[in-house]
Amino acid sequence: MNNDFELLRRQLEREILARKQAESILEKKALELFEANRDLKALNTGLENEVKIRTFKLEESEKQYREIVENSSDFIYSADAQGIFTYVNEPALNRFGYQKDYILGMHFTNLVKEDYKKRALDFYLAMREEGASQSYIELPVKTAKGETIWLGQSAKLNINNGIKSYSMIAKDITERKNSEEKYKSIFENMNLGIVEIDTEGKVVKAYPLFCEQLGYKEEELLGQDFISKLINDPDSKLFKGENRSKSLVKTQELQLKKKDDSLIWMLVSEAPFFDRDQFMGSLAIHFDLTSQKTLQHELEKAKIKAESAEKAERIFLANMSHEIRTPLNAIVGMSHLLESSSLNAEQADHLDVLQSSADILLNLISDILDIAKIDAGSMEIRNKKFDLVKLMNSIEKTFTVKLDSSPVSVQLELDTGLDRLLVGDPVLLNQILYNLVGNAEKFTNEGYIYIRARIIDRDNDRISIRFEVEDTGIGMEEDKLKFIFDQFRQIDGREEVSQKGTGLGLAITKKIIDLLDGDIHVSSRLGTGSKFSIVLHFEETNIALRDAKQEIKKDYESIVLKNPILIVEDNKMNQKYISKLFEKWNYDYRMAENGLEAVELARRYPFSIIFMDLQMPKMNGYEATKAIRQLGNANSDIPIVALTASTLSSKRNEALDAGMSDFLAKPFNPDQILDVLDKYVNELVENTEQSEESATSDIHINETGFVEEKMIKQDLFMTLEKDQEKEVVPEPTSGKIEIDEKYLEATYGNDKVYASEIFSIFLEKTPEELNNLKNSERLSQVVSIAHKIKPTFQMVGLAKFTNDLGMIEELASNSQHEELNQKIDIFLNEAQIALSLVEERFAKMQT
Amino acid sequence: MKGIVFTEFIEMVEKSFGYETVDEMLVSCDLPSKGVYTAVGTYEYDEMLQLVGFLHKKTKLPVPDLLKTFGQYLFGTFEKNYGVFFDKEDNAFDFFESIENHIHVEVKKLYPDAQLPTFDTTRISDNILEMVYKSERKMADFAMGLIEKTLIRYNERARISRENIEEDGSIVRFLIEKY
Ligand code: HEM
Repeated sequence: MNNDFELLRRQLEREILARKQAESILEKKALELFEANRDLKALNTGLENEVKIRTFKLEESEKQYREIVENSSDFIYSADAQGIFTYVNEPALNRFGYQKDYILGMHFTNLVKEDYKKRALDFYLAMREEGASQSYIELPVKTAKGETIWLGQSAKLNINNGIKSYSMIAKDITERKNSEEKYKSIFENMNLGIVEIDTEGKVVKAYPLFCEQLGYKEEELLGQDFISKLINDPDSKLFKGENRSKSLVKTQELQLKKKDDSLIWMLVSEAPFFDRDQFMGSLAIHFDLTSQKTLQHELEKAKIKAESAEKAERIFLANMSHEIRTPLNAIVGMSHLLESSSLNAEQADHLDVLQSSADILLNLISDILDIAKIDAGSMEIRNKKFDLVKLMNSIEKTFTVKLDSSPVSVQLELDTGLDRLLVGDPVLLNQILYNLVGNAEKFTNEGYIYIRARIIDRDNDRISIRFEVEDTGIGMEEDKLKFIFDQFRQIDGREEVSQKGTGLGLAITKKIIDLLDGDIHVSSRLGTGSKFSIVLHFEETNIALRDAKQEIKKDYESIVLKNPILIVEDNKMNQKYISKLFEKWNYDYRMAENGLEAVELARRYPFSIIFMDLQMPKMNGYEATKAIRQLGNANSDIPIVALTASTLSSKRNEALDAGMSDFLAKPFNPDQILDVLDKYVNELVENTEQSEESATSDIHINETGFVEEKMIKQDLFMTLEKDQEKEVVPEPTSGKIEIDEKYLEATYGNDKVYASEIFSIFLEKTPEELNNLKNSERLSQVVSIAHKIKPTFQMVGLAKFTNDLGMIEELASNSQHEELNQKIDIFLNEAQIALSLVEERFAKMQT
Repeated sequence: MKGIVFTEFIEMVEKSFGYETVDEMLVSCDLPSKGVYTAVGTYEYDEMLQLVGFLHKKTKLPVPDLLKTFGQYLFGTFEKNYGVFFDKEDNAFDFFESIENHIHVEVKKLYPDAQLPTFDTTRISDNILEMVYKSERKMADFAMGLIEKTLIRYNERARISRENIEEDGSIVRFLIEKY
């Protein structure tokens, strides 16, 4: 009983507790619910506000829309299902000219022009019946004033709770409609052949031009299948498939078959045409491409031809530059060497001519190459100080010598006001004048060639000069004058006169003058002569010409090199030339025969600068440069200047890529070498100062990485003094034949190797040349051989022979046969003795 | 574990063995809830384990049998309270497939703290359904009871085979083959 009671009590207790627990859980849930509800309410109020704001905004935008509608330049109106106007905006009212009250309640057809009323009504009835939501129609409308205007009207059919109404927006297209007539005539006059093709692909209309293009009559084409009858390309996608009805224009070049079975290239465009949105067929528009195709073909042919010609020209020019520049290098070089030998006044005069001729020749070649440059717009103008008087004198002299034996004399007339150095490009000016005088020379058989320079304007440091080259030659007809500056063009009928000329001369001249902002003018009379006059502008310095010599000459004494120069060159003549120059200027140098030797020398000795040929046996200049740059000693950073006969810019880039610092085209003259030294000397001096600073510590010397620590240092000033003392002027001795030891000593010093090199070259080349001299049949040959071997005798200490050869050269030039033959005989005899002397001396050197 | 599972269990015990057994069970087990359960509460799963353990000791009936019986018993409650779920489907297989994707999803919405198993169902053929049960509570026997009752509910006959994929019974594969 007690147990039962206890059990019940526990059950009750559990149930009460469970109820309380459930109540508290539910209470908590109720609270959560309450809070959720409160949040919801807050949200609701927010929503209400939001709705208010939105409604306001909506009203605003409705107002805005209404304003837009009211103020739109388009005509906007609506009508009920019957077509009665229910709304018309302001612009429409204005244009139509009716009052609002009058128009509202009016049937829209009342506005439409009489003959269009039925069509318009039918159109909108159909729209309503078919339930089409949108439509477009163009209608003529009569305004209150009786004026007819065209409307392009878009209509929208609205259905609201089963009630239908129209909203319409229209544009005034009167202007376009009127001009459509105009376009129609343009359309017909365009060279376009037009065909209409139905949905089945059958021709329904062929316009006259198309018929004419293909040689058919319209009747012959009507009802024909357009593709199979006329189009020659079975793969063409035009006028086929679903795309036909798409509103885009498709265009393709196609061949069409003409009536006579021939084919014709046409540009064919396809466009669909519609009637009330219903696809009705295609419009085929044809443009005859025959002439375009032929033209295109010819252009392609011409392009290929032009490209191959251009390539050939480029290769030719590049080769020519190389072939001519190499021997020319020797000529220019040797003539500069001669300058330093002792010459009598006459010889010096000849040498002058030789030098300027060689220089001019060199410039000419460069300029032929440069025409390409000018055309490519990459021609550079190099302005510097120059002596115009000297330049003009030299041209006059060149031509005087050239025309010595002809009845043409050259007259130079200079403005006495030309008394100062000018700044300009003397090379280009020289070329202009040389070309013009050369041209005059070609066409003048007797009389004069005048070369003039006149100051026409002088303002502060600006000076304008008129140059004139006038001849008394054959002249030319007025109508030929305009062609004379054309490239590769020589005036008809004058070919027989111009045996030489490249035909480029005047073209180059004109191009250069244009480049220099100058003017050229030519006047001529057939049989009387021609006159070219040029105006060019220069800057004028205040350096008087009489002080100019010192000014222009490079002051080599100011260029101080700490270390020797390294010359890397395999060509003997060039070796001799460049090394003689450095000797003349008292620069210490070393010579390497090829790249391998150069790298070896650079490994052992420090140099100031390296002049390096590019093409050499064993190792070329590029490889050698790379190797030297990687040596890791002080030579790795010094300037390396490429020497090459090539003017190809690709070679130049290759050289720079290989690590070379600069580039000197052969043949170069002494000034160019000095220019290079001058350009780098500042750097050199800086570097020198640096290494001298750090050279105070012994460690540094070790670190320079040279195998031999003891550098070959030369005190240049000491050497200079020494050389001045020793300066030996070879005296032309008469009679006695002996080698001038003093000269050898002064020239070669203790460098037996160098001396014996010169001697061996002499022994190698001279006998052959003497033989040539003996056998020469023409005076010109004598002149050239004598000229060529003249300097070599002096180099082996036989200045007498150099003098003799000079005389021979002169006698030959002056055609003094008798005396010349005598002289040559004596010379050849004596030369044999000379040869044996040199041989003897050479043998002595070897011991 | 949701309170309804406990209240129903206690109801089943009371109906089978009388309130005395219920009282003995609640007194002798060490229950954090002191044996006070309401359908809307949530209790430790461990309490369910203790209650089943007690019943096993008391009745000598194996635990799996007890759980299965409980499943069968609870089915009745489900059918009564959540008839809509059964009415929605017209055959047992479709119903089984709806547990994972529909029924238990709704349960979870109603009781975010409910701890439910997952069922991966695959129709092997028209007549064979595979159900893979996964749950840390290892109540596959309970599921067995629910499955059996479901088949009866839809008036369908089937052979049910089961295989423990995890030995501890946390993953169990049921294969239901209709005759
Ligand atoms: C209308 C039908 C169903 C409803 C309303 C329902 C609802 C529930 C609820 C409320 C729980 C308790 C969750 C907890 O305590 O946290 C549960 C657990 C469970 N349900 Fe259902 N269920 C249904 C059908 C089924 C069926 C048909 C099966 C078996 C095939 C099943 C298998 C299970 C299992 C095994 C558990 C135990 C928990 C576990 O093993 O992790 N349920 N279910």
